[in-house]
Amino acid sequence: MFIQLLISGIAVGVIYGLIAMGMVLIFRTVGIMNFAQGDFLMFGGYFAYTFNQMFGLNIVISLILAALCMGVIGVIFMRTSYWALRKAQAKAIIVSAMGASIVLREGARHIWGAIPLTLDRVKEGSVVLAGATIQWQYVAIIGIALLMMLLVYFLLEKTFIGNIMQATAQDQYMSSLVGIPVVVSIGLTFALSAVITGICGGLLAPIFFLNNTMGTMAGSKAFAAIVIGGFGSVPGAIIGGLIVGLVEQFGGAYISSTYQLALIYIVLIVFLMFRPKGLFQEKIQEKA
Amino acid sequence: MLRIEKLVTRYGSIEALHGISLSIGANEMVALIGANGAGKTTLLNSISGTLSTSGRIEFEGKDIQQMKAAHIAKMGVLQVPEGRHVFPGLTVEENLLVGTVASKGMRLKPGNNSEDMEMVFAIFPRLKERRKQLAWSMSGGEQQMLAIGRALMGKPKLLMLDEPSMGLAPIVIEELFEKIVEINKAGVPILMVEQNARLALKVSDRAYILERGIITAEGKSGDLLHDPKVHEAYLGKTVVRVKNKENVGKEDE
Repeated sequence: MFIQLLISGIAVGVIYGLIAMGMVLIFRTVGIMNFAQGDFLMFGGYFAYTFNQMFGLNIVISLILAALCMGVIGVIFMRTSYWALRKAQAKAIIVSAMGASIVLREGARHIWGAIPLTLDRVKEGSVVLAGATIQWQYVAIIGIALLMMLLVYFLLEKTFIGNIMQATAQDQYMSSLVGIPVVVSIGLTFALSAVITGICGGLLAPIFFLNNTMGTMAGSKAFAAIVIGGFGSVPGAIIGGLIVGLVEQFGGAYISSTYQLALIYIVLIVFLMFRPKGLFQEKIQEKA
Repeated sequence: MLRIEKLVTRYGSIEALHGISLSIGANEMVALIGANGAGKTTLLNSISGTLSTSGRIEFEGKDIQQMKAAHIAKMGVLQVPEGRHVFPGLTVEENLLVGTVASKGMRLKPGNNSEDMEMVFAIFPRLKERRKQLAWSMSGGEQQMLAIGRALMGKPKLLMLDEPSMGLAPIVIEELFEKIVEINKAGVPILMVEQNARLALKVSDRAYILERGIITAEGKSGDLLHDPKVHEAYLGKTVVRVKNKENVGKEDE
């Protein structure tokens, strides 16, 4: 029981962590929390469903194609919901993201209907480990999520384009003065954010079913993960996601599955009371 | 190199520059002097393309007035803005490499830039010692050096410096200005905005004086330095007393 919960908690946790990471990437670039991030998860799931169930493609290929589609969605989202408002107040952009969230949610219902759907698992069946039965899908989620985290780290820290994206996030005005086309650089960031979140949708769907409101709940848990981990910190988002996932799974099993969500928010409130800045802080500091 | 005619820049309904004409020749160092709020930074941002303007801005015979900032930077018109604006979360080396976007464009790998990097390190050896350090953690003078070094990585055909001496200790300013003269002697024309009028006039070939959005005087820097009117307005006859104690030393580092 314990090992099972541990594995499922980590699997769900890394998913929340990845969604949170997507939100943090956008937050660091444009300074606002993207309240439509959860809907990227839902849309990614539906794209994976389309390729996997409607076109009959292999699930791994479907996930890759869904990721590419999400990249395009990310760029469209940036152009329509953010770019025109980039010089407006933050609250205008937040409202615009909320509007986009409704468009994505209702758009998905139009295209794919309201009936919960499912798709293939990356690997069917389960494995017995130390007396516990563990579904292969959880193992696959953990593996793929870790791989994506490494890829994002590599892209942002070790490639030149990643440095350019970081530079744009840190100072848009200066970026344009060194010749960076800011719209391209921000577009890439949104695309990356939508890709990593969208893949999560395809990974979660076989476990939780796909429906057009799944993003709202996942998005709010990812937001809790960001606050727990430390606003704006990428490692914080991942650790925060793990904490949320483990609390959800263990709390659901040992305390009450009815109060799963309440437990997450209790942890969030405890953090806000005793460690409001979260576990990690940003690497950039103000000089004394 | 650069020719500006009847340039007008507005912030909403407020007109900040009322028809500026100015030119910079090859290898020239030109200073732009004026009080706070005269429009010096506005003029630089107008040239850089971060503000919308009307009038004519010509660089190497091409009209750049309507161009976007990134495009103007790619043509070699590079500004080092007031307050340095280093990328705080990138290391010194990464900051310098991002500067190459102006000359080489966006790309996945930076490629080989060691020659340009060594050239910058030869001018600012301090940057070489700190190449792995995050930019935010450096002192004000070092950040200014980094900001200028980053612009040099973009192979400037015209370098615009906005208040390079701001917030620096006198000894650091002296060292920095020696380097700026060195860069200009190597063949890079410079347009410098500077509060420290005496220093700016000493190092530059020509100068313009900007007052409330119009140019009121121009000429050889040496002549302006001895012009009684300029002397009175910008170089000061009497010692300025510091009235507000709180402001003393606030800018430093």
